Amino acid sequence: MIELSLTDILSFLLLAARWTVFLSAIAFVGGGVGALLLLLLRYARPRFGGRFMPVYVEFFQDTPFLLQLFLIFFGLPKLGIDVSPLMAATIGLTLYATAYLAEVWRGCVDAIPRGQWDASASLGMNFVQQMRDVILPQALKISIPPTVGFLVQLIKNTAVTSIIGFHELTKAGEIINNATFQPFITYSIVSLIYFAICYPLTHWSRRLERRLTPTGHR
Amino acid sequence: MDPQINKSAPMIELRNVSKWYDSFQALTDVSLIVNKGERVVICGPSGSGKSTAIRCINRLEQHQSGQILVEGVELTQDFKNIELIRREVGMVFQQFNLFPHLTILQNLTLAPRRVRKMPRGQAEELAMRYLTRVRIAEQAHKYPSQLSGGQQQRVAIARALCMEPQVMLFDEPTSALDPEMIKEVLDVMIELAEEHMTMICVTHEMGFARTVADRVVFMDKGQVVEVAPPAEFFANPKNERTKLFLGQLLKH
Ligand SMILES: Nc1ncnc2c1ncn2[C@@H]1O[C@H](COP(=O)(O)OP(=O)(O)OP(=O)(O)O)[C@@H](O)[C@H]1O
Ligand SMILES: [Mg+2]
Repeated sequence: MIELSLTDILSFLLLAARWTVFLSAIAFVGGGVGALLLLLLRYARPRFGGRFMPVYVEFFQDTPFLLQLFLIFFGLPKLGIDVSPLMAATIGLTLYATAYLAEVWRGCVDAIPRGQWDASASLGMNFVQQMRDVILPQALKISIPPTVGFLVQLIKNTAVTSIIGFHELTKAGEIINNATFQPFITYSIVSLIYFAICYPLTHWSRRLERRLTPTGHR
Repeated sequence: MDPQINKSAPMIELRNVSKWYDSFQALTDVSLIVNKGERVVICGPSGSGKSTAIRCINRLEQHQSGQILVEGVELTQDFKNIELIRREVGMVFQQFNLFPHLTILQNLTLAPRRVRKMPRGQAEELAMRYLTRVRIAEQAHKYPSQLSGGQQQRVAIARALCMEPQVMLFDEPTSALDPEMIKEVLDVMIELAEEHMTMICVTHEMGFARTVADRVVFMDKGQVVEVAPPAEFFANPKNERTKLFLGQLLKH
């Protein structure tokens, strides 16, 4: 057993937490772009995109994320593509985020009543104008809570990448625990760091949602 | 204006229009001519295809056979034709369909600004003129959810008028309203009629049909069954189905 000061432990964990944040951010942005591409394909090329998207989404939603990660980390090298844990974690989380965000956002666009499409079309607006001025502003508002909710899921899910040896917050906690044998203290601190990252997001999303709800004058 | 438009053609002409939803035939050989300045009321039992028929006129629904012409321009797959026709044809819906994220004023100026590329100041001036006409100018800066149903429907009428259409389509504009609000909406429609706006109106307000309509069209099972001036239509309907329908309507 090694004696480590609380400052040592904290700084070690916080340094690793940067990787958790970094990985989450990359996967969220990558997933957002991927989801937009999937949706664009779906609405612009319904014949192909309309069929491809459900298959993609179902696959990523109905298989464990850990297995998707294993497929990339252990499977790709068999095909002659070398992947580092960082690479595998990034690819895995991005593909996973793409599936969930596409599904969440599709739900938000589809939740806008058909009458909104009818009314804007009857006024002579084209597809792009309808989307930009009528559908998306309304879809955006209702998409904020589930999108931020998913982001929080994503941040917590980065912990899974510790299994393939990616050095993020949970992995760092494991290393500390192996050195100190103080699981209670160690994992409490780890949990608190996750909480400190996720709680402001949830809080912020509630505020944003309230601000985007039209009640009075703007 | 676009050279394709023929000012001497009827405002709207349907020639043997048929429409299917998958295998279900919603319209069968519907033919109807509406001249400029004419006011036509369409009535008929639920599911008879009234909404489908008027939604085909501005291509919210696509017909599969026959022809639809608006001022002589035929509705085809061509986007240019569809956009041209939608500028000429305004529509008011049963559920109002105002844009809830925009103020009343923004609801009215959106299409003129985006579609007709009107500068903002000019669009707002136009919007205030129409809001005044439907007697709701003082609500311009509120959101739709802050208005009553009758007020929302009058805003919807003003919003359609802001595109300065040649024809107005109404799909049961008073059906979703509480009884005490029906009159304020009908009054606005009657004023429009008095200004010789071409109107096609799906409604079961028979009082409105009697006083305003030039002709009443009765539809049943996707077909036009009878067309007659209101006096004749109500006094001695020719078709058995029309008689049955009017009989049921009077019972309520
Ligand atoms: N999008 C759709 N898909 C399938 N069937 C439809 C669709 N829209 C309408 N129909 C069917 O077409 C028929 C005509 O419908 P439509 O809405 O035109 O009737 P309507 O005369 O307007 O009736 P109502 O008085 O109830 O409004 C109905 O049987 C309806 O079920
Ligand atoms: Mg209807």
